Amino acid sequence: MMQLRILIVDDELAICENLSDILEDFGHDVHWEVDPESALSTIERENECVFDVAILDFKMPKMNGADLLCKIREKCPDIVAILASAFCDDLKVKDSLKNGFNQIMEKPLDVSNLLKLLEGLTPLVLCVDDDQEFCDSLFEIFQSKGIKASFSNDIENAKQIIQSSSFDVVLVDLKLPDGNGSDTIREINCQRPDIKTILITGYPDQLEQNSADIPELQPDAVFLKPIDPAHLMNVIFRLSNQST
Amino acid sequence: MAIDGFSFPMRKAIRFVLKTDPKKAKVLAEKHCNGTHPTLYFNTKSNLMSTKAKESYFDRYGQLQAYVGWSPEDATRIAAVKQLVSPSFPEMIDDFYATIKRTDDAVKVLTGGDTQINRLKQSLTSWINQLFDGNFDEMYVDQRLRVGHRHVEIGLDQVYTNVALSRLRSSINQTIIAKWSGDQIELAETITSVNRILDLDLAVIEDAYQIAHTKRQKQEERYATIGKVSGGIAHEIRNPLNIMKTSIYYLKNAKDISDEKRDKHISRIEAAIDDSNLIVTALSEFARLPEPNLTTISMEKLIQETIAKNVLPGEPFKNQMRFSVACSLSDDHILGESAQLLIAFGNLIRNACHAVNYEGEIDVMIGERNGKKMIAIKDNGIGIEEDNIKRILEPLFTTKPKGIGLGLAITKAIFDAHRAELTVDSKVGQGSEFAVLFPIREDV
Ligand code: HEM
Repeated sequence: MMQLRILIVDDELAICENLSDILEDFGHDVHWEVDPESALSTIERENECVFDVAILDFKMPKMNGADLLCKIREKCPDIVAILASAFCDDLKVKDSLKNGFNQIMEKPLDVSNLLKLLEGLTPLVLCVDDDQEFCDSLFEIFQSKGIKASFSNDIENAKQIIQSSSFDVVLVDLKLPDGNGSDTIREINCQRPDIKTILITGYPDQLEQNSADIPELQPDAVFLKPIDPAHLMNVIFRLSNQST
Repeated sequence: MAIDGFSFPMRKAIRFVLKTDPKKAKVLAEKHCNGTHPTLYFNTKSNLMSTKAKESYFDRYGQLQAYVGWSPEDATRIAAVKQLVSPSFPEMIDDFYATIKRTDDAVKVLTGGDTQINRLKQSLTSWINQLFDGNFDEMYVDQRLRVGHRHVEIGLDQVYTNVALSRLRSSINQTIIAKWSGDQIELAETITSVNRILDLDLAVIEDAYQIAHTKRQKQEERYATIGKVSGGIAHEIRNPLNIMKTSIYYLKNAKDISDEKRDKHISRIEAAIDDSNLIVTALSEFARLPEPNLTTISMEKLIQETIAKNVLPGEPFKNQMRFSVACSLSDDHILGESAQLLIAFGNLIRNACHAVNYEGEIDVMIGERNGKKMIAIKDNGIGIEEDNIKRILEPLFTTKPKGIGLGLAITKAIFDAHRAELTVDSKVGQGSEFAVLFPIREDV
């Protein structure tokens, strides 16, 4: 399972600690707050979003879970938000799905369901690059974060793998032995709009020629080598959970 | 009490059941009366209404009589005309039921077939005979109210009692006029008297419908509150359940659990069980809150008992907290159920102790406000924030970290049931006053 950065906000201290114990035991990185306002200041202190997932209580003093999420999303637009509420038959809670929660879970929490849900957030990645050394180092990074990934050195092979598995994100190098990465991405976007694409290149000057493309066929993100692994992980996570 | 038309063992059985369960006695009686409608005068103490309620209904009847301008001569005139009209009773009664039979909405409450119709005719015969006996005593009124209750029970639309009586009135009046041979002024007076008693009879039936309506309304209000409270309780109880469930999951599934962690989770589960139990206890207290059984009680005694029960001697705070109870009434009696009021005032006193943190002053004043008897509990404690004052009486609202917010809701429900008014006045930092105004006796 991918190691996630999880924020828990629940006014019940015991629940924060319990969930934290469980999720840390599964290797996640957990931060919890009993007070929605201090959760917000924790988020605002950082330059960028430092959480992948937020598990929020609904009924809390000062601010309810839906209002809290709205504020969290200012900094973390793509955070995966789970509402944990004892009030699930309440209309206000039902509206919360519209308010941007990805999932509502009833209290008492079914923990194994929660873990399944988190597991489902782990992206399945295909990396197409003929630079074996780069592939090896990505493999290590992915593995350390619990992300499942396949690798391919050429376009032909990659096309076959894409058909056999349901990838969330495909990384493609710009220059490949049997073709051009931009064209490949265009093709993937055309045939499989559900897959997110990332173009990787060491030559930023060669990117210009494709700028006339319609946006849907362009890569969802472009990374220049040398890439920042942490940033890449965040983008992969964000993109993969956009598609779900 | 008359239990006629039964074999001796049956009479004995009914007498026995009457003592414990009057409704059952009636069913038993009807089941064994084989189509003859026996006269069951259920006017013993154990009957549907308590003696006190009956007495007060007789008082009310007196008021209604006064309103229509009733006098003893009315009774005399009615009794005097009985001889004249009674030969026509069978005709009137046949017409009465023939009309019912022609009316779909009326006939649909007749579910008992011809047996029931025959029984009805007999009921009506004794009803009309009793009317012209001219004895409008307590038993008469009691019977008349019961006739009303019976029609509510069978689900008869109230308008049909009105129109049926109107028809009966016409028959009676026409018969009297047709057969009258005496003085015309006396005839007019007699007709007026008959109309008066018929109107009073109708008023009593309408009262029965009104009483049933009020009762149903109260019941519905109760259900609504219980619904609201139990919805909130569901939420409150899911919290400790959530704690138990996650702690158990951790204990069952985590890889390496230190002894320290294990102990922590186990005591957390225990605490969550205690919390759930507390909630359930509070809820059942709330849901089972019956209608108060009103008796005359002394407010001062009530307060002394409340304080004795809730502020135990020997507790550490006893010395620092000062209680004063002052009574400015010569008669400090109210109608109430002391068991319930003990709970209600107990909550107020305990809240006051909390507010002063067990070291301030609590004054209980027994007196009068707006012409009503009042008990006010005043403390010089922390006070309540303005925004919260309105909300503290709502079920499940609490400002205490460990409270579940049923205390004041129960208190309010008890006062509501006593038709007493609870007012709250508070200033942050200065203290609070909870005043309870009891209804003037007539409103109870
Ligand atoms: C104001 C007019 C009426 C009078 C004075 C009257 C009188 C009575 C009396 C004295 C009883 C017996 C009560 C008892 O069991 O203690 C009775 C029962 C009953 N009445 Fe009326 N009634 C009236 C109108 C009606 C109407 C319009 C209906 C329409 C169907 C009706 C249907 C019944 C029924 C079904 C019972 C129950 C009979 C049984 O199962 O024993 N009544 N009524």
